Amino acid sequence: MHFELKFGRVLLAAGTLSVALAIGGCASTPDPSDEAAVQAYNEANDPLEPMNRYFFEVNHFLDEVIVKPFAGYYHTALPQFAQDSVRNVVRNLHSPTILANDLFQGGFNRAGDTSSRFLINSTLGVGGLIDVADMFGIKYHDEDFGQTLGYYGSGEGPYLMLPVLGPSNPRDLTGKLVDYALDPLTWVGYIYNVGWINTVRGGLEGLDTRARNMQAIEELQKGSVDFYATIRSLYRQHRNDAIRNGEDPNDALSGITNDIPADGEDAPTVMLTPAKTQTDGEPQVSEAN
Amino acid sequence: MHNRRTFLMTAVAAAAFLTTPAFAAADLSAFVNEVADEAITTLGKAGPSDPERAAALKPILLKYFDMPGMARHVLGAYWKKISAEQQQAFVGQFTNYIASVYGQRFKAYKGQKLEVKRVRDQGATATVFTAVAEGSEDAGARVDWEIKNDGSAPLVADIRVEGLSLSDTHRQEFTSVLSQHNGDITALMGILKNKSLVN
Repeated sequence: MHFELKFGRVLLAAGTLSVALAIGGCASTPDPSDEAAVQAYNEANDPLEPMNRYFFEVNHFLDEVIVKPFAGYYHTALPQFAQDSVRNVVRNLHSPTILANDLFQGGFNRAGDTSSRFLINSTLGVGGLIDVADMFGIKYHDEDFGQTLGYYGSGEGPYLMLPVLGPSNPRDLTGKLVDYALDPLTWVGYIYNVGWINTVRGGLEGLDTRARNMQAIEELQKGSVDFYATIRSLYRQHRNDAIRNGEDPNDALSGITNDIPADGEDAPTVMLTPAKTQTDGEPQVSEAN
Repeated sequence: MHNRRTFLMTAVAAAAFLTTPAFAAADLSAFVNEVADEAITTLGKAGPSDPERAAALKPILLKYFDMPGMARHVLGAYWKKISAEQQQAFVGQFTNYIASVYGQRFKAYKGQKLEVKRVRDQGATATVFTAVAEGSEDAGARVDWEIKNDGSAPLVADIRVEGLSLSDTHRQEFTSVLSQHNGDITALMGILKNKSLVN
């Protein structure tokens, strides 16, 4: 019942979104003769920019009046170990979806790490409160279905700024819905009629992340000349890095160009493609230290 | 036979000459250590105010960073649309802006040390992969240094922290501002000047 309700709400939101898309229309495309503007437009990959900027403002307002103050209280009121416990519990509860996506990507070592962490932290770590596995040297890593799609070469699609949920794109949004369905917590909430568990986890996760990055976000905003474009770029780079599991983008520099292509459609985009694994013989890798 | 051997040796010699970078791998990791150490000590000695930090960082940028190359990159295709004088003025303004913004961010520095993990030497360019050493909360955080190595001394062309590139991020901001102002570089210069704490 609850699940149906929630699903209905998602559908409703999707409906509202598509109406907004239809009304909002597309961003004013640049003058085709202005090659520099065309290149900037293509690199931004953000055809819905006016609508996205609107929701960015809405989210920014919500952040200022609700999230940031709460994150501030959370940060000052709770001692560090308590904040770490919150993060540990949230991470531990994500283990099943992380494990599923490790396996989807054929990352058996990573899947092993995730399972060991879940077993160790749920038992020795008192239900995930303490990250004992980390002390054993098994480090946390993140994985989600958006990354799995990216791993198999799915493109990200146009940038999306979602209300409340923040930056995304069709690939990552699809990933979120799949992860939601994969998550045992979703089904626990549905079967035992405790759907609030999911909401609380989501809320705590957002709060904890916001509190941890309080200063960084403030400085980022202070130094930025177009905060919306900064977040758009950082989100995309972060997701590409996550898809590569932090492997180095081999062709980062070769992707950089100032040449204006004859055809605006093929404007070079920077850092949009996950790097291939190193090819033999090409770049020389030498160990240092 | 003899000819072939001569040819082979010439080819090897030519290849060796072509691929010999100005600085070898060990030097490159020493170079990155030098840049990081100098930035840390200089900013450590600088006063606590933001303009003081910006003023301390600027000479380091001018000495170790490829500021003209970065300025060119962050403007995207707009770079070629502006005059040579405007390009030169932009390089200066961009340097002031970077010194101001990152001088402030260095406040968060709490004595973390960088360890060079490996060096990928590609001749004219190189990447030095470093990570924050154990002993701090950020331990393991990746910092990659893109090095331009085709002149007399290596220069830093870009820094990536956990996969987030400094110059790619600024490129998105700057080209976004420029397209909102019909490519008017003076508008962007004005905004950067307002954010700059050094001249």
